[in-house]
Amino acid sequence: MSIIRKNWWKWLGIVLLMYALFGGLLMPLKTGITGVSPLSIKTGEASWVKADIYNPGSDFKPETAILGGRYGVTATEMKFDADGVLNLNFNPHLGKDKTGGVVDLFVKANGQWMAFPAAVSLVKGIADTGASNFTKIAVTADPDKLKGFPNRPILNESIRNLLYHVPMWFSMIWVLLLSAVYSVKYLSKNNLEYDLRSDALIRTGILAGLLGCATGSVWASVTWGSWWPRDPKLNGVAIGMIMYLAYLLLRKSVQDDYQRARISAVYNLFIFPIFIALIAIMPKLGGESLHPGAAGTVGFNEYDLDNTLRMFFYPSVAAWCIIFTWAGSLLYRINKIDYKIETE
Amino acid sequence: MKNTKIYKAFALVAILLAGIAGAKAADGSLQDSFRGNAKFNVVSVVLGIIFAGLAFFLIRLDKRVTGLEEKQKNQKS
Repeated sequence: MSIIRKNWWKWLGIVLLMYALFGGLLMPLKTGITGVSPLSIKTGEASWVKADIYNPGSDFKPETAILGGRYGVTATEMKFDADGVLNLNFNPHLGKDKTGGVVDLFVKANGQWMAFPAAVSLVKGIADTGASNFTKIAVTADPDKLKGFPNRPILNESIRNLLYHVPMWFSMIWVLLLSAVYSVKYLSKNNLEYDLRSDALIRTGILAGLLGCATGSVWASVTWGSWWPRDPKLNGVAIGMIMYLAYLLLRKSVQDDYQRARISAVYNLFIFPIFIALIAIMPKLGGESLHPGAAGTVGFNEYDLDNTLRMFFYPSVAAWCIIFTWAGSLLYRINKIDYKIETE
Repeated sequence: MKNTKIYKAFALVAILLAGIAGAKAADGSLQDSFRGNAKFNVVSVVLGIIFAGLAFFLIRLDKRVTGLEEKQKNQKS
């Protein structure tokens, strides 16, 4: 029992990590549309559109389907196959004056609207000469009654990465903040133990940052279409990581213990605010970031983070902050023993 | 030191095996295999990267502790 009482925060980290891992992987995704075929249909004639329904559930009942933007046509016939394909028959007539374009697909099933943006391209057919049958559409965003993670277009199942990629950055910032605190403590107390603590925390922070970069890169390759997309946040992080890698070189280049500790502490206190500015403030000023919440208000709005995700997101952030603090403390203890053996 | 060499070799073999398995899963490109199962595969890759990072950290710690043990042995003798 005393082991648990003494290291309660480590146990808390393990429990939270297990909760975030298993809960985040086992929670199903809400019903949604993952794909639409064909890419284009001719107007002026009836044609079938196939929508892949993900996680339809056993009682999936389509009510209406609309193809369009602000104006759209309603499906005349709907057939749902057992293999999760919803066949929709549309008969769009654009009318004389209008030309075709890319339209979205909206499906209402079991009282819930689902959307798939830029689903089908309408090509004006030769039979399309009469009046337009497009009417103003009324799609309401009802509060979700279904349980599960939101099923968003493009993201789909990869929305779970929010629980594993984002906490890497949160824990990196947390660990680097702690190391900055120990740097201040070193400068005021001149105790080498604080320097060793700060150094160990920076090293674990760099590990968290590298993992954040690698996981983000893999995620972006699938959803944003590039391993390193153009995004001020990514470039800011790259510069920040180089500053911290320069810290490692700087530390190696000074021989005297106290001098090294002082230079490290001052350099750390210099780069920490710059790093925060590069990853949190600069992307907001640029206003072109792909990351949620980067160009607008601080944090996540209701579209980025719903209540089901929140249930696992905050525990996951806490868990990874604890795990990386723990890793930093292990490194610090090894550094301390090493230092004691060296100086004896 | 022999111990860390074994760990290093083990890690290398594990990384190689993971790479081969990943390449086999990718009939087309690597990104296509990430996109499988409604993009669930990319979640597995992300988790794999995180645990590989933690394993790397453990290997580093192991190396440091081995170094400490040797230093202690040298001091005693």
